[in-house]
Amino acid sequence: MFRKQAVLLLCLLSGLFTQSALAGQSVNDAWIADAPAVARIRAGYLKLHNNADHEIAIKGFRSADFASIELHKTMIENGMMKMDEIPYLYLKAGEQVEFKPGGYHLMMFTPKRKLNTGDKVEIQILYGNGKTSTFRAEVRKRGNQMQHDHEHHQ
Amino acid sequence: MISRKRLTPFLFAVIAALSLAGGYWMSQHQQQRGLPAIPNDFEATVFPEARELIPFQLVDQDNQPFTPERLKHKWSMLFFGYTHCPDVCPTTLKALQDFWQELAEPVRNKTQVVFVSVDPKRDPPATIKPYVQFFDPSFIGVTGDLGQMTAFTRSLGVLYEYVSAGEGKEYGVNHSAQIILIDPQARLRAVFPPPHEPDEMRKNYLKIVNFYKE
Repeated sequence: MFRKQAVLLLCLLSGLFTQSALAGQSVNDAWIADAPAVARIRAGYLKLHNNADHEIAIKGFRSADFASIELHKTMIENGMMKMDEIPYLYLKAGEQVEFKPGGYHLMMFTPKRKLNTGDKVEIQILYGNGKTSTFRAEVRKRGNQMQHDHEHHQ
Repeated sequence: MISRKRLTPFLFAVIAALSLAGGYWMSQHQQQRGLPAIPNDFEATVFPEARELIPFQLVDQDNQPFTPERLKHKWSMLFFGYTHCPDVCPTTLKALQDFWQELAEPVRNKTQVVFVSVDPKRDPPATIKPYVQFFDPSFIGVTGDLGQMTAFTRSLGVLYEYVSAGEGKEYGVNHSAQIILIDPQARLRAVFPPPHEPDEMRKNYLKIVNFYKE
């Protein structure tokens, strides 16, 4: 009798835990572009998915391997390439944002160690509500990954 | 409202746009009048008449003079950027690497890729050398006096402006995105607008080069 209830309780609890695991943010395909050693600013890219059922705000990123990290977006306006700093990134429930060459990217200032292809870098996400989460990004060579804006094609 | 700071680049952008439109009109006009045609059907703007460059005195990655003379005898693909640019400059240089490395050898021998820093203050030859050579040992890096750089880039319709990112932060540089094609007589021949997809760029480049070969 008690045993049945305990099993039921466990089922409910495990359901809850699964729910909370899903109700977070997931990071996929995180990488830092291999760059000339002389480059003082590196670019990081990732896919960020908000699995929660509510909007989240991201107010920054940090890593022990870099002096600082800013969130930027490259834009082409009237033939001029610009970078805008994004102070807060908002992701709606279920929304995914892809950071990729020519678009959103992590602007990573002054690497504190030599970064070789294959190296892993731990990066923390700082959320608007004060929480943090950590993911790892791998240093990779750039492929041919320029973001295509098909509106400009004829 | 356009602030004073932005007015100059704005005016130059207008002038650049007008000259492009003028060039297009002339090309149409010339074709109708049976004058020398220019290749069409590709994603680059080819000037009906190649334009002479103004004299300039810059330096390369080895601190050697970089003058119009260095643009002679080869076709040159010029891209403008700065080494503190983490995203779009390395992405474009990567595209130029792919463009270059897949060229057939005879064409490659008469082609050079030149990265011009529009941030010469932070990009001395010693910085620009390992930077360009990371992408290809044959790539040329150009830097130099800011006044010379401004005159050179403006004559090509290439614009840039420095943007403060706030106190104590590294400044950014907004800059023209196009790749400029200079012919072997050191004259402005064509402009490749972004996005720069290597295969597309190579196809268009070969069309132009083959069209103008003597």
